[in-house]
Amino acid sequence: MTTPEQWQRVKLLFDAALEKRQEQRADFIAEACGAEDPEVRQQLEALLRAHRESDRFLETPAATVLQASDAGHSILTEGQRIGRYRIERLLGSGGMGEVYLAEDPRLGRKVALKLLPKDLAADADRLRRFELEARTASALSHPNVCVIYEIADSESQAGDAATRSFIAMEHVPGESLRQVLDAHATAGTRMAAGEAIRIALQMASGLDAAHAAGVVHRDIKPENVMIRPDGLVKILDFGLAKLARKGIFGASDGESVDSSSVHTRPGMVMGTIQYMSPEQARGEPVDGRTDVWSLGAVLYEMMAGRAAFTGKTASDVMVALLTSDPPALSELLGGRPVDLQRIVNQALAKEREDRYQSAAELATALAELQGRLAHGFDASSGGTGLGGRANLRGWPRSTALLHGLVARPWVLVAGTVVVFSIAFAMQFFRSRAPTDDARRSMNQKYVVAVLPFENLSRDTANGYVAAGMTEEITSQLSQLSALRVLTRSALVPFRGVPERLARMDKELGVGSVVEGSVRVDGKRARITVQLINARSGQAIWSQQYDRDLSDMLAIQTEVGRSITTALEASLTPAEARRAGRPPTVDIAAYELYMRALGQAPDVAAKTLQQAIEADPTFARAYARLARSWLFMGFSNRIYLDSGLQAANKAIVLDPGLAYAHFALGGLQTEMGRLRASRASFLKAHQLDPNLFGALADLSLTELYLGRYDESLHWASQAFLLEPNTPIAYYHLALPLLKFENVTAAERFLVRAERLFPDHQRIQLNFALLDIYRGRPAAALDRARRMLSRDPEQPENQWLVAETSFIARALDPENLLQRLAEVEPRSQSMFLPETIGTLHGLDLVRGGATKRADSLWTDAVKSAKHELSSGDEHPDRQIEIAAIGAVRGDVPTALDWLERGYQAGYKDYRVLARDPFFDNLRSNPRYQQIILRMKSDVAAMAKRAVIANDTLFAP
Amino acid sequence: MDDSEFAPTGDSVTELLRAWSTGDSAASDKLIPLVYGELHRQAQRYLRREVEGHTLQTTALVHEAYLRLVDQRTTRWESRAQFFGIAARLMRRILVDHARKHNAAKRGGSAIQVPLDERAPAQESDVDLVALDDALVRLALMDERQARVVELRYFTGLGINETAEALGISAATAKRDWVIARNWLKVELGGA
Repeated sequence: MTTPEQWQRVKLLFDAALEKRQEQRADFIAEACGAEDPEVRQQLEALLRAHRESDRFLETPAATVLQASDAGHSILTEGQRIGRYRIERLLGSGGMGEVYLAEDPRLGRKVALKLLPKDLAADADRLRRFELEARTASALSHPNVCVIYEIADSESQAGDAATRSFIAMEHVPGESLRQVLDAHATAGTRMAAGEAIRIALQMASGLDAAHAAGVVHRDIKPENVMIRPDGLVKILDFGLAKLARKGIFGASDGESVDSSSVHTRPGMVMGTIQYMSPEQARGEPVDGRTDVWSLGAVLYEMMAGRAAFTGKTASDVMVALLTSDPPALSELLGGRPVDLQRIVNQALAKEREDRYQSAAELATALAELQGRLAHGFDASSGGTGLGGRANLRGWPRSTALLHGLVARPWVLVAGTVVVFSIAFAMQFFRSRAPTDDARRSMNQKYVVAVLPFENLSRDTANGYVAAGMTEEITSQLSQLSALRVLTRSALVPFRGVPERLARMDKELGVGSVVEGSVRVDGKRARITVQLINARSGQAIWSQQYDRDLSDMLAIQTEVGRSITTALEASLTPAEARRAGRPPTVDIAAYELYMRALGQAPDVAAKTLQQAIEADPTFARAYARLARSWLFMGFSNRIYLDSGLQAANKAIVLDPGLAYAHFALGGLQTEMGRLRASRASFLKAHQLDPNLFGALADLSLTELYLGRYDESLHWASQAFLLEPNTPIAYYHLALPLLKFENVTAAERFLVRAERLFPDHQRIQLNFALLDIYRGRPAAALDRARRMLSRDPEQPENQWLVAETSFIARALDPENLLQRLAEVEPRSQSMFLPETIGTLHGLDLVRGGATKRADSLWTDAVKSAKHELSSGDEHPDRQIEIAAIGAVRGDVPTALDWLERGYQAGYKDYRVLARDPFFDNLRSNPRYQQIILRMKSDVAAMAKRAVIANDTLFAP
Repeated sequence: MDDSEFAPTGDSVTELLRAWSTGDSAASDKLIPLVYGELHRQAQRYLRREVEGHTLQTTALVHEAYLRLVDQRTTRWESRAQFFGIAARLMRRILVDHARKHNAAKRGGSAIQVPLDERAPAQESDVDLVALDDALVRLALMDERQARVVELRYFTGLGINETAEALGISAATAKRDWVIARNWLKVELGGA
């Protein structure tokens, strides 16, 4: 027996010996132990002997393998049969069992066969519950959900006493998202934003469908996501997590086909904890929002190239996910899109109430962002969910079209946006005279905010009822000219903040707030609604409805009317007539319609068509369908015709439906029918004075047509409905910048920048400001700064290409050429020529005159074709003029310049710097046209200043 | 032991940990049965296979117990270290008890095997937990801290750094303790 004293001595010598090299140790011991007692020496020698034999004794923590035979040893071999399936090869194995590629000889198709652990077969009840969930999910036959064909037991086989349960499921060729991410990590690259969004969007879409069917996945992680070679994303293993373990093991590690890579990454212990939601970590019940969290963590990892929550140990990871936020994407990547950060933030909100309330909401946010990237041509990813690369024609139409028109515009500012000092913005529009001031305060109760109805139902499938209440009440109040109804985007920053009523009063001038909740229990619905005075916090009116769910549509109408009455808002006769009209009488159609609002355009189109099947007179479904087709039409113009038909059908069914006219206007804008679209937007505005999208788009239409004062008017009306979002600032800055005196624009933008630092659109406005100021070099600097922050952002690339062009600076990255190769007929950002035409001038400078000439010949042909087919965009004429000028054909150039001016082109400051017109500078007729543009703009500026004095006041 | 008598609330364990870290040594006596109850209940569920899955990962079990029992918002970091110290000893007890019963039922059978992952080649020899437990008792007589290091590392699966934190020693010291203790145990168990 070694005494503690002896042991201390052993320890000392052992540590010292380890300091020596192996071959010196014997000498060391001989020398050091000369005087030691034999016990010490004996121990020491034994220890060093043991140490020499390097093995893994005790290195792996104690853990029990309950059944050694279960632990992945029962490998099946090729040709073996399980059920009717013939095994081909092992695809992978993990804690939940092995997965084989097998063939179903009956149908001649390949399946993936997952063997479940033996002990599961014994637990019939649990297996049955799992089967129910798995079947429910796969019965959706949603393209993003892996289909389960069969869950069965194998017959006993010789040498394998027990039967094994197995799942036969759709074989998804391709790679798991984990493999894709690992490949990026190995190559030192990162996934392009467009690709990450594309994958996340499909995941959200699949999850939404499953949630609607009442199935929560519980274990969303890169291992459970397969990406087919054609880009289709499939979520695997619905229901399996429940079958696995609970609590911390809810996401059982090693369960997927190949999770081994997770373990080997440094700084990780248990792979799947990293995607676990706080509620799972706390052992609380899960719901659809749990999957929203996990998807958020996956999205973060795709963007950042690292997991959102890391730690040396499982508990470190858990503490991180419970208490801290992952590093900002911009910190890691430098200037990734702000919107993406917001989406990630909201998906990863610790409290479920602060997250996207459904996968559908998350999908909408992603689709909206994708739409903008795609419409701005996402160079990084190529294809998008909108169906391939979109062109940039018609920029900056894109923002307005997308904003306010997409189902849930508020995602643009989702997250916690800084709202302080927004009150300043209101000052711009504070009325000029004291009497107006009085009127304003008297009327404040008519400024209304409809907060999202809270869903108190246990079943997430009934989420649409609450969303529908919010939607309908907003829509009904919105149509009343006596009211100003703030957009949802404007209200997002107030979500869950303390004293939100008081803040909405102070910062948005909101006087009345509508809020409520919905609880659906079986077929009954309990709806509570109240109308609150924002300043006093007191309820002006409140009501509780206990009705049959089938009465929901009638209740919506009733509630809307009651609130109107309680507000004492006066209605025009037309408004009164519409107020009693429910959107549809078919509850199933309505549910489909509400679901479509959260879907990506292509999916939404299908859902809406189902809604129309259920109620062929559902005008609003037609109008939304028209919008979906418009979005799809951005990338593929064949959809525009279908869109026109749907919009017209909606108008035939309900001529008073603002959204139908608005949808029609969007399609007309996209087709270049600017005068028709102006009429449509005006009609939409007249029917619904609070429709942000109609105002914003009307503003842009007038901008294209060179009516800058009109454009400013509509943008400022839109601003009132949403005075706290970067998009509203952006829209208002566009016409402001067109006036010769840019001080008002600058002042406005400086404020905007303070509120939304580094927002891409605001920076873009600033670059335009530099150009109009005659400082193209400064604009180029700014554009380059933006590009360096986010080199993949297509708009940044465009801006650098064009500002270098107009600054006559070098384009070292050949951006112009690259962009022109993709889509030469894309409309440029602020120059009137298309990108291919601009590139032509570069070609000429490089000596490639012939190629330039053929580009230009094509460009002239296309422009003329567009004009003859009714395109009213004045840029077409200017493009023909520019090509004429650069070719030295002065009469043609002047002729088309004149026509462009007549069609509405007024941007003389851009023309004056455009290298295409250098040949004409000294031509008197050219100078005269420029002067006419200038005096037109000066006259518009005068009118604008009088109409908006506060905006222009120093 | 009847599990039902242990229905610990987060508060009580949190409170006791706090009391303990402020010098109330009696708190640890009250703490042990609470933590044991939780660990035991969870471990039993695995051992009885109420919970699907093959491996009982002690690290995860202890972390889960910690999360369930302790309110992280109000608990200082030191309490976490203390918690792991207690949990490690209790995990040792639970696993060894199980192994002892298992050995009795199936004479000569080895109780503990290791999970299949890349850190642990399948051919690794089994460890006789009962013998290991006896050896640890002897080790503790020579050097208490080294025995604690083995508990934390082997029975709870903590890394060197976490082990050092739990014992309030440097990582280098923990590493040295681990190396010598591991070699000594290897000799004692006849592995070398």
